[in-house]
Amino acid sequence: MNTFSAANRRVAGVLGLAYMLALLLAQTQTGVTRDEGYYFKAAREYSGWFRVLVQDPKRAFTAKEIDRHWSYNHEHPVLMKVLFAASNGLFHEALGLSSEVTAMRLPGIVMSALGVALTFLLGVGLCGPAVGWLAALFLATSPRYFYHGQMACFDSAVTTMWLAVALAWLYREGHHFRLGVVFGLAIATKHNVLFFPILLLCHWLWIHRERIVGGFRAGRADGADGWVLPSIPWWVFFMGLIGPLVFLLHWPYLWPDPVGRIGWYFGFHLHHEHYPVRYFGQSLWSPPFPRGFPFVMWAITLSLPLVVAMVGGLVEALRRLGSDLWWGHQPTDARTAFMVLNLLIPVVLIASPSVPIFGGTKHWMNALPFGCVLAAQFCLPVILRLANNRRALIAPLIAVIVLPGALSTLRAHPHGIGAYTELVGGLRGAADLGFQRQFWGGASRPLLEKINTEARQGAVIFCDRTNEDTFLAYQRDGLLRSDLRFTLQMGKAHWWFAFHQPDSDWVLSAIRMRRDSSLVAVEDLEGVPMVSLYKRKGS
Amino acid sequence: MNLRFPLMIGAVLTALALQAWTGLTIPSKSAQSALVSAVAATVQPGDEVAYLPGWEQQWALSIARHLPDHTQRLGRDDLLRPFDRLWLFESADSPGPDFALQPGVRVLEEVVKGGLSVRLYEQQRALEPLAYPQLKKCRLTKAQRRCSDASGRIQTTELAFDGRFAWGQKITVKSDVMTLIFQGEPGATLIGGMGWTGHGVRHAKGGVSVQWQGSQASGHALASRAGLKPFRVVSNSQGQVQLKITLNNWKDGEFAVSSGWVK
Repeated sequence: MNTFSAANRRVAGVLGLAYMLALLLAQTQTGVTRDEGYYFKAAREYSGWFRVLVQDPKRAFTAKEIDRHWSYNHEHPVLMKVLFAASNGLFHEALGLSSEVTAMRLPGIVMSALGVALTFLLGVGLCGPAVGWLAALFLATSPRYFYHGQMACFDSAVTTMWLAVALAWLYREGHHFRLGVVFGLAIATKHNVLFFPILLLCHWLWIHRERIVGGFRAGRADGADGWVLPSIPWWVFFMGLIGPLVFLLHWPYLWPDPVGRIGWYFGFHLHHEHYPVRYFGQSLWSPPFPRGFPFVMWAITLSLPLVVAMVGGLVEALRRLGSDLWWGHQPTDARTAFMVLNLLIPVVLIASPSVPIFGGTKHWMNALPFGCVLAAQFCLPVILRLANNRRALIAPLIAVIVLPGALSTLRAHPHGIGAYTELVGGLRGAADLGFQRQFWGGASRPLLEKINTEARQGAVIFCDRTNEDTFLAYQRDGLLRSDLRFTLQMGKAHWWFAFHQPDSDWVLSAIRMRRDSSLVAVEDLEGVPMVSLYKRKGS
Repeated sequence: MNLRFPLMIGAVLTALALQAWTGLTIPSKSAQSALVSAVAATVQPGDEVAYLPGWEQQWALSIARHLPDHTQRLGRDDLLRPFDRLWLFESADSPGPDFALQPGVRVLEEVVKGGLSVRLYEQQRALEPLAYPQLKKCRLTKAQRRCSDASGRIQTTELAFDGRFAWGQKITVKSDVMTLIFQGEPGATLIGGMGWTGHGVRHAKGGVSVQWQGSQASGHALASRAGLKPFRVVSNSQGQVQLKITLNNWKDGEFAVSSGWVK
């Protein structure tokens, strides 16, 4: 691996900072999702424990106090939620520099920006700055990464943390302790990273394949015990001990009953409920899901140049690995296998028919930076040939390659969760083919102004997929009038939102069939509706 | 270099061309509104309106503003049943069926504006745009929206097919066999679509056979996914068409029928 020069580190910093500013600006238009509403609430509840910790440290560590503050939303570890709370406490409550929503979102935004910076460094480490730049920009201009990057959620954060673990592993010499800590922080971000050790096991088997297989052969030939397990490297112990320790220490909820509560946590995710996904005009509600789902979704939500280059990069990498296997080479440098595994394992996991697929592409987004680097490697000879030794041309060529992704990102904003790209004919093509464009109730934000202006005092709003925590967050931030009231009962509402997604088909029908409802506004992108707003006649 | 160079150049150029094409073919909201408002000047009471693509709510919004008293068809599935007079709005990237090719249908008016169009179709043979079946002695009407007995229930409602919609009857089969009767005029034809609802296909627990009986008997093979499959059945000498749904050893099947009568 190449070392990072000071100049490369500076470029990574600038890239990250620029992306952070773009996300900060963009999120002012992006609606608050259901999960964000839950995490805002969790962040506020967890803040209470830290107040107790300052006032009465002994009491803070009692099981009663821990359960009081940490029981809410205990299906996810708390690293990010604690950062949301800290950011809110500092930037919103103490300094008054930002709204609550922006402050809560800031840690997720920083993590996403860090993801772009680390992708640059991974590219530099493998092939040099040109690959770093292109890979980072491929990632930055992926419409759905840009969308998830704005959220106070864990998906872009865990993408970054997975990447951080990969980098920490690649640069582990002399830094085993760092690798263990980064791994611990990663599993404290989201459970996806628990699959990273499986990746490392596969990689270890690949590296030692000749020795392992040769050991079997020797054992058969002379009748002796020829098979000897290759030595287990030190980093395994650092990751295996420090990682879980960091995980346990970061989450007070686990302390009163670590075994029981970690067991519940694993159980919850092993038996996670399924939410419907619309795919080629069919609503998929329960397993078995199509194996091709993640492959198709990437093909139609990433830019065409990225898709082509990623497939090209993967084929090229597999050809190299196949050649090593065929000729019995044992390359001392097994980075190609490492990159391929990082790209494939998250995708293959989702391709398993029983794994939850809801939420679009976020569940395997941790593979994306590696796909971007492989794609950039594939593109590099093309760029160099076109530039023909004129260094000044490299930047414009990279810009042209990432332009389609940037355009799709721009066209899908602020509803990037419903972004679709060239292969499916963009947003309208995806709607024609029956693909999902809304999941978590965020699309209602642009319509709040209409309600603020037109709703009578104390009007009751049926928000469909926008939940009450989000409704209250909008009110606290002044985005929604404080006299308006939330309801789940359609019959009591004066205004109704209807999201265009599988689990809200019945909502749309129920509202349309009411004789007292009238369609008054539609939030759409290029004519593709995300959410419709209906009003009770005469109210 | 081999394939890499043409692949990447081709991918970038194709992507940029598709970006331009999809960007240039987006219907203008103001043009949609202007077209609907132009229709408001000549629309007659009782005219129905429809728009394609059925998912595009801007058409619905303009219709709600300018033609609030007219019944809306809810997309392609809702166009399988007949109509008297129908204004069909279309975007350039989602052309609909050309009803003018059907016998007895003529185009009375056509306006094309900036990639958008509206046609007024008149079906001279239409008798009833929405047919109402009966279950035993209970017949659905405009006012009577539900019927039920031991074999199941029927309800006139908006039907949902995984993001597509139509008006018609939701049929919930509670026993092995359920029979519905559509009463029309002798020799009239019942046309429309029949199939699984989105809910029905999701919760199906076994096989189903569907049989139409009018002047002749015919089977109706259900598609494997939600949505209406077209049918056309001529009534018998009493003007009746019978729909018989048989479940193979399971219950609570949910189906949809959306139909109307023509001469």
